[in-house]
Formats: sequence, structure tokens, C-alpha cells
Amino acid sequence: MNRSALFILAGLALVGCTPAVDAPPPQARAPQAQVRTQAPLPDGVYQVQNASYNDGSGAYTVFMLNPPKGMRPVLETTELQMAQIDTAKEPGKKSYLEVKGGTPALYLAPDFQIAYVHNVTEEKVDPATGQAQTIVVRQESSFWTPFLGAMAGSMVANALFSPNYMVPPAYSAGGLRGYGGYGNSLSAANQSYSQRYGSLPPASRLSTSGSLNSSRTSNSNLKSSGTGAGSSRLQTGTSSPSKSRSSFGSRRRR
Amino acid sequence: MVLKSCVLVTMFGLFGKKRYVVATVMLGLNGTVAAPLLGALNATAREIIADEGAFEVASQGVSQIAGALLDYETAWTHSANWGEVFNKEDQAGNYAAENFAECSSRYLSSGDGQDLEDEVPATTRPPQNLVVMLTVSYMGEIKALESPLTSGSTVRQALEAIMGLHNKDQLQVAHLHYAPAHFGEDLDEDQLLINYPELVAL
Repeated sequence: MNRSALFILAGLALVGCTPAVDAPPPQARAPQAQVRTQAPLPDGVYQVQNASYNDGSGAYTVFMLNPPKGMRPVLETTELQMAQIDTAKEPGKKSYLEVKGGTPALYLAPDFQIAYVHNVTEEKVDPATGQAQTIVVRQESSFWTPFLGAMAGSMVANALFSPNYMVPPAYSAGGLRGYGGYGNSLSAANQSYSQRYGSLPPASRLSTSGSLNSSRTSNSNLKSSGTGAGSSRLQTGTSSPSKSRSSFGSRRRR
Repeated sequence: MVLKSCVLVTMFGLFGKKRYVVATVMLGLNGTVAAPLLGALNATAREIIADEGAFEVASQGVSQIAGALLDYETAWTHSANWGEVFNKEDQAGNYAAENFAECSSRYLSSGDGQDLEDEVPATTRPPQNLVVMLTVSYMGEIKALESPLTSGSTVRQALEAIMGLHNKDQLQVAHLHYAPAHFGEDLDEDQLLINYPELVAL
């Protein structure tokens, strides 16, 4: 009697465990965001020295003046919310980074400039292999002032002063002003960008992996070399996993 | 725009749930016969990357590769397919992103490889094997892509279906993976067995 109860319990425990195995891997967004990971910043307020945005990876790099002890003074992330400091209420307040519940948000003075790194790609023939390769030939630098004058009127005030995800406008060499899209999630920001420009922002569309740009050999590795590239026009989001999803095909879901 | 999509959503609400399908076709080829395909694969991947993810380019590229694979039917050795059906777009989008990462994990994809720049390709022999993976997404139901691909004829129908979807501009996801990455690199039998265990001999 006791033993069968134990079996049922064990069975239940197993059932309970299975979804964890099926859960999407944490690196699901990895192909888009080639960003070095570091331990998450503890909650708190940090003074901002400067910030930059790379349009190849969609990643922000924020340098802090007062990092927590033992941590690099750098935050690198693709998911960064931004808000303008309400200068009417807090005149002279310096730009700062606030981490709340593990979510970082930048509070910026209206004239704060984010360095903008634009990747210019070109096809070149590799003299060693004779094969054409797409390489980043140079990076142009520009700057982006997300909260400068022109756009302030077009964004509702409470959206302006509370943190939102923002996508920069289309690149131009002379500096970028305002936003390309904004929303309360990265996908909402991308969506708002696509309503304006008719396509998703570069960093959110492109998926790449592998060694197209490097010539590496497979010698005794367990894995061969490989390349992946592609694009999606499905939106991604954070809705809870569907109960009604169903699988098909010649392999069983792993 | 918003109003229009609201109306569309309501219409679909009346007629039942939307059906988003994400499907992957994996094909193993005899490397000696199919080596010329690597040129087409490299060119397509370069185009997709150069256009920074412009969807039309990726859709066109995946369709072209499906066509090129049909030309090399004699080189097909193995096949497999899998996919999921969703009724929410963002869930399908998330799964497609996960699936891209999962496919990438089957080959060396650490990416930067700066420390390996000095290495010279070891051989000019064709690879023993070539694996191509195509992932597409569409709305609705297409039997050719959702039934198990275990024979030459089912694979042919699936590849034709991908080309058809592209021609009708109905693809929502267009992902391409292949291994090895270049001519001169190999994908040997062991690597094939370990990293592509679902492949079934045709």
C-alpha cells in the first residue's frame, strides 16, 4: 500500500519535472544578441558616464561611474528601457541608470547623447580561400539623442517620463533624433518601428550564426563548421507557453 | 492600420483560431555529389546577411535553396522534419527563434573565431556529408510540410511546398542552416551521427 503510494508520488514528481525539460532554452534570443554576459547588476541607482548603441547587435553598453564593488563598470544588454528625466520636477538632475527588480532603465536628460555605432557591411574576396565574404568593413559612429525637442511633443508625457523600450530611428550619419519605435516591451517597440518604417529594425530581423566570416577547419572536433542565416516577420513576445501547441514531423520533440 | 488589424482579428475570431505553423526540413546529402551546392549556400547566406535581414531576401534565398536541393535529388541520403503548430503569432515567433538557436547548436557557431584566423583550410576534398536545414513558417495547413518526411517523394513535395509559399509571399519565417560552412571543411560520419541524430536514411 505504502509502496504504491510512493510510486504514484514518484510518478507525479516526474510529471512535474517534464515541462522544465521542455521549457525553451534561456539562450532563445541568442542569435540576435551577441552580447557578453556578466552577473546581473544588483538593484540600485548608478550614475551614467556614457552610453552607446550598436545597430549590428541591437545592444546597449552603459558605462557607470559608481559600479557595485567587484563588478565591471559596464552594463551590456539588448533589453534596456529608457525614460526622460522630468526636468520640470527635478531640474539639473544628471542622467542615471536604475535597476529595479533586475530590470535596468536609463533615465536621461533631454540632451543626453548616446553614441551610435553603425555597421557598414561589404562583400570582399578572402585572398586565402578565394571566396567572397560579408564583413563589417567599418563602423561609422554617430550619435542618438532619444529625447531631443522634436519628438517630445509627439510622445505622450507619461510615456516620456516612464521607462519604455525604444528603437532608434533609421540611421543617418549626421546624428539621430527621437525614436524609431517605442513600447512597453522590445517587441512592442519593434512593432511600432515597423508601423512607421514598414519593416522591422535591422537588429531585430537578422538572425545569423556560424562561421561564414571565418575560415575554420573541423579537424578532430565533434561538431563540424556550419552557417545559419535567416529572417522572420513573426512577432515575438512574452505570452505564456501555449497549451494547445501540437508537434508534427519525423522526429519526436526533444 | 490599427483599426484594420482589429477588424481582421475580429473576423478571425468569428471563423475560429488562427493556425501558425513553424516547420523545419532537414536533409542530409552525399558530400561528394552535392559539393557544388556549398557555393549556392554560401552565396545565399551572404545575401541574407548583407541585406540585414530584409525578409524578402531571406524568403527568396530559402526558396532558391529548396530549388537547388531538388536539383540534387540523386545526392539525398537522409531526411528528417519537425515543427509545431500555434494559435498565437508571438508563440510561433518565439519558437522560431528557439529553433534557430537549436539548429545553430549542431555546428560550431561560437561566431567570432578571431583566434582561428591563421588556420588554413586543411583539404580541398569535398566533405563526406552535407546537411541543410530549412525552417519556414506559414499560416494555415500544408500537409506536405506537416507529415513525416521519410521518403524521396515526401521530401520533394515538402521542398516544392516551400517554393510555392515563397511564390505566394506567404512565408513568415525563412531560416537556413548548413554544415559544413565552406568547401575544404568536412562533416564526417561521426559528426553526422552525433549532431543530427534524427536523420533517417532515405
